[in-house]
Amino acid sequence: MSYLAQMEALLFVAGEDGLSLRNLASLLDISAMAVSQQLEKLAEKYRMDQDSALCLLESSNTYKIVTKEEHAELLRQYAKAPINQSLSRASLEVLSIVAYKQPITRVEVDSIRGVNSSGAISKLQAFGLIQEVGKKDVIGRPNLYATTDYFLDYMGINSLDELVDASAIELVDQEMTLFSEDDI
Amino acid sequence: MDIKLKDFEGPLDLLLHLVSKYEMDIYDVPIVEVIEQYLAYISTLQAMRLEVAGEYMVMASQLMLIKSRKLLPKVVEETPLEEDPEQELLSQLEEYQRYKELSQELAAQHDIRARFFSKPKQELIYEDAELSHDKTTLDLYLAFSKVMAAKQEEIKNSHTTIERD
Repeated sequence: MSYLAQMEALLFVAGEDGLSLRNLASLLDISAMAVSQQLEKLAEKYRMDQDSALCLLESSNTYKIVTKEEHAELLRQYAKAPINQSLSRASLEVLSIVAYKQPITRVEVDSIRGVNSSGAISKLQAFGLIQEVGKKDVIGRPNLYATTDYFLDYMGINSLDELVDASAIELVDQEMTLFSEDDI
Repeated sequence: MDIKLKDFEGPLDLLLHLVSKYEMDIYDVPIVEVIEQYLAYISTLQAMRLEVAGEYMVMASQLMLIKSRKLLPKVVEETPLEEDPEQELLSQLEEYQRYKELSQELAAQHDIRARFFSKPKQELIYEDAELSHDKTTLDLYLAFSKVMAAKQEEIKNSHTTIERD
């Protein structure tokens, strides 16, 4: 049996959960180095095969078999998995603040946004993008929130360092009109 | 009215929008003008009997305080009693703007990830597998709550609201 076939079988069954390098190495009883070589081969095999819709994706430190991106439009009409859905503006703002300032309390998020963020926080928790990671040592012992491993997968990255550098953000203006001419 | 409060993520977002029209650094913006625009906007909305969220009202009162203080002559004190609310507001605006931009970056990054689809994990069943009683009533409760919360969110977003003209 070829390692490629065995790997494909394991990754196929693991589906969206994926498998880490260590999982694969212990299941196949070969070194992690060998696993990553084999993975590269498998990825290459998918890449070269024009008649295959699959490719390998590495995110949140696990490998998954996923469909190639050119099928996204077709699949969007069919599939609606949480990871392929986008978030509302409010949730995105809260998620960004948690991602860059974690661990952080709800009140701290509220004060940056200037609005109450409880709704967005419970939504993000329900989606598994953020989680409680303890209490802050102040009066009231508020919960501290941080991002999860699923958040890494959601962003398609392996670690928080891969997020856009917060200091590199150019503060650009955006234009909108508050009132259209004929309203006033 | 083509734009309503629901287009903004709260008072800071609205202020940021008003400030952005000046196309200059936040700290150089004529703050009194911006305050007047904000108050005018809120009162226009109220005149139209629209629901204005409480947060916008709290911001309005903060802005009135800033404006009224600017009108009073400066009293020179040996030790300033409190922080300058105007500077505080401006730095708050700047920080909010930073995260607003970052959230756009995150959305763009997620869009790339969202182009790849996969299938749920295959549940494998074996005769000789042992049940490891490591789950409690609480786990069951939390699991179901999580499903319900996600579903409710989905249902809420699939509603269509018809606006009155």
